[in-house]
Amino acid sequence: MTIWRSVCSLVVCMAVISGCASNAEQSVQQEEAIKVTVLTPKSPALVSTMLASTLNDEVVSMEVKTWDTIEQLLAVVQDGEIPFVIAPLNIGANAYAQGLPLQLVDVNTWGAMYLISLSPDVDELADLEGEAVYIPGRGGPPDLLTDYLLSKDQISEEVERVYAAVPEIMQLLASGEASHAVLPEPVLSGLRAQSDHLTEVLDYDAVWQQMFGGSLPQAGLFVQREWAAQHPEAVQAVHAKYTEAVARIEQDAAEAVQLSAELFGMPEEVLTQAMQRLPLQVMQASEARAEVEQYFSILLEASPDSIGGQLPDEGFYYQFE
Amino acid sequence: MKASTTNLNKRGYLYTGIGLVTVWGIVAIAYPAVVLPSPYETLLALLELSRTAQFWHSLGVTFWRLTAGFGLALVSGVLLGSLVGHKLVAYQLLRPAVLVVQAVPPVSWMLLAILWFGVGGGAQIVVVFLALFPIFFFHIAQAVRQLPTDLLEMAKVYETGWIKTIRAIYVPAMKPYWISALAITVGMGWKTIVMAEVISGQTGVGAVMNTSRIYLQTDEVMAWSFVVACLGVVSEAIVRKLSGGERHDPIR
Repeated sequence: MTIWRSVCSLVVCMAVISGCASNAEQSVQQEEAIKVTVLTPKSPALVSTMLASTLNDEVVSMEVKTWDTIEQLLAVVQDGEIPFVIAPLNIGANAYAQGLPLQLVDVNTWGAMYLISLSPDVDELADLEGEAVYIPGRGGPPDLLTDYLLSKDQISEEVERVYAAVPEIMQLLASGEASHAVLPEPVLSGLRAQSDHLTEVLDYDAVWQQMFGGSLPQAGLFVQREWAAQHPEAVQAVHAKYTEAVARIEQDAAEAVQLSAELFGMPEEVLTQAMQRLPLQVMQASEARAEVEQYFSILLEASPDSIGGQLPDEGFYYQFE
Repeated sequence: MKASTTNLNKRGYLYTGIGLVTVWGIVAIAYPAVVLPSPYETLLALLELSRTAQFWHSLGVTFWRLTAGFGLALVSGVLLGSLVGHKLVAYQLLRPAVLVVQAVPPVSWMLLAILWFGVGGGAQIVVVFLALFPIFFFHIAQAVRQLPTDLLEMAKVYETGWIKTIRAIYVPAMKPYWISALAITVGMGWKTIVMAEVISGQTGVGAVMNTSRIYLQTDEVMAWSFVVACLGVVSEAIVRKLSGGERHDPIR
C-alpha cells in the first residue's frame, strides 16, 4: 500500500516537473517570437498569406484570420489587437484619410480583374454597345475603372451598368440572366471551369500596362502605425515572409493552393488555374508609391470620396529601416 | 387630467431623447468618426445630404417602391383575407402556405428574388410584398371571422341597405384589426425596402447607403438610418391619426 502510494506520488511528481520544464521552454520561445495575426479578405492575397504563415523564423509567428465585410475590417483596425490587415488600397487610403492609424507596408495584389462575356457575339469592347455589364459594387474600383476604360473608348454612354454582389453576379451569369460582367480572380476561374464559351473582353492589368507601363495595384498589407513603430523588426520579418512565399508560389503553387483552397470554397484545380493568371509581386510601399498614386489619381478623379477626398501623404507609406 | 398625462408623456419623450443623444455624444468622443460619428457630425452629414438632388431622388424611388409593394400586399391581403375569413376550408388550406411565406426571412426572399426577377426587375417590391402580405392576410381573416353574425343577420332581416350595414357593422367591428395591420406594416415596410435595396439596389436609399458604406462615410450611413427611422415612425403616426387609434401602451 505505502509502496504503491510512493510510486504513484513519484510518477505524479515527475509528470508535474517535466510538464513545468516543457512549459518553461515554451515560454522562453514565445518571448523570442512575436505572435502576430494577419487579417485578410478572401482575395488572391489569401494564398500567399497562408503560405507565409507556415514559414517559420525566430522573429514572428504568424496567424491568419479572414474578413468579409468592411465593417469587420474597421472594427478590427479600431480595436487595435490585430497588427496586420490586408485590404484594397482604396479602402486603406480612405481609412487613413478618416484618421485610422494604418500604414501601407507593401502592395501584394495586382491586376486580377477582368471584363468577361459569355456571349459568342462579343469579342471586344465595341461589341458591348447597348448591352448590360454586371459590376460588383457601385462606386468601388471595378466600377470606377470600368467607367474610366469605357470613357477612353468613348462608349461609356452606350454600355449599361448593373450593380450586384459577386455571388449574385455568378448566379445571374449561370441562369443566363446576365451575360457580361466584371469579375476578379479567383472567382473568375470558377466560372471559367463551368462555361464552354467565355471571352475576356478586357484584362485590366494588360490595359494598365499598356497605358502606364506597370501593373495595376489593387491590395496590400497594412500595419497599425503605433505597433509598427514599436516592432520594426516584426514588420520586416512579415514582409520577408511574403516575399519568400511569393517566390515559392512562382516556382510551385501547389502547397499554397492546398493551404487555401478550402477557405475560398473552391476546388484546388480551379484555384491553381487562377494562380496562373495573377501577377505575383510583393513591392514595398515606398517603392510602389508611384504606381499606387497613379491608381489613386484615377479613382480620385472619378469619385473623390472613394479614397477619402485626397491622395494620402507620405505618412501612409511605411518606411523600412 | 388627460391633458397633464399627455404633457408628461411628451416631456418623457423629450427627456429620453436628450438623454440618448447625450450618451451617444459622450461615447462618440472615444471613437473616430468612421466607427461612430457624433450626433453633431451626423446632423452635418444629414444637412449636407439634404442639399443634394440625389437625396430627394433616392427618397422618391424608395417611396415609390414601398408604395407599390405595400399596395400589392394590401389589396391581395384584404381580398384573400376576406375570402378565407368567410370560408373555413379556404382558411385551413391557405394558412400553412402563408405561414411559410411569413417564416422565410426577408433576406432569403431578397436573394431569391434577385435570381428570379433580375437585379433591376423589382425584386425589392416583391420582398416588401412578401413581408407585408401575411400581416394583412391574417389580420383581415381574423377580423372577418369575428364579425358579429347576429347583427349581420338582423341587418339582413330588416333589409338594411348595404352601405349602412358596412358603416354600422363592418367598419366598427373590423377597425381595431385594420389599424393594427396598417400600423405594423408601414413601419415594417420602410425597414424592409431599405434592407432590400442595400442588398441589391441600383437606386434608392439602400443603394446610396451602401455606397456611403464602402466609402467609409459612416456619418452618412447614420444620417440615412435616422431619416428612415423617422419616416417609419411618422408614417405609423399618420396611419394611427387617420384611423383614430392610439398606440397601445401596456403601462397605462
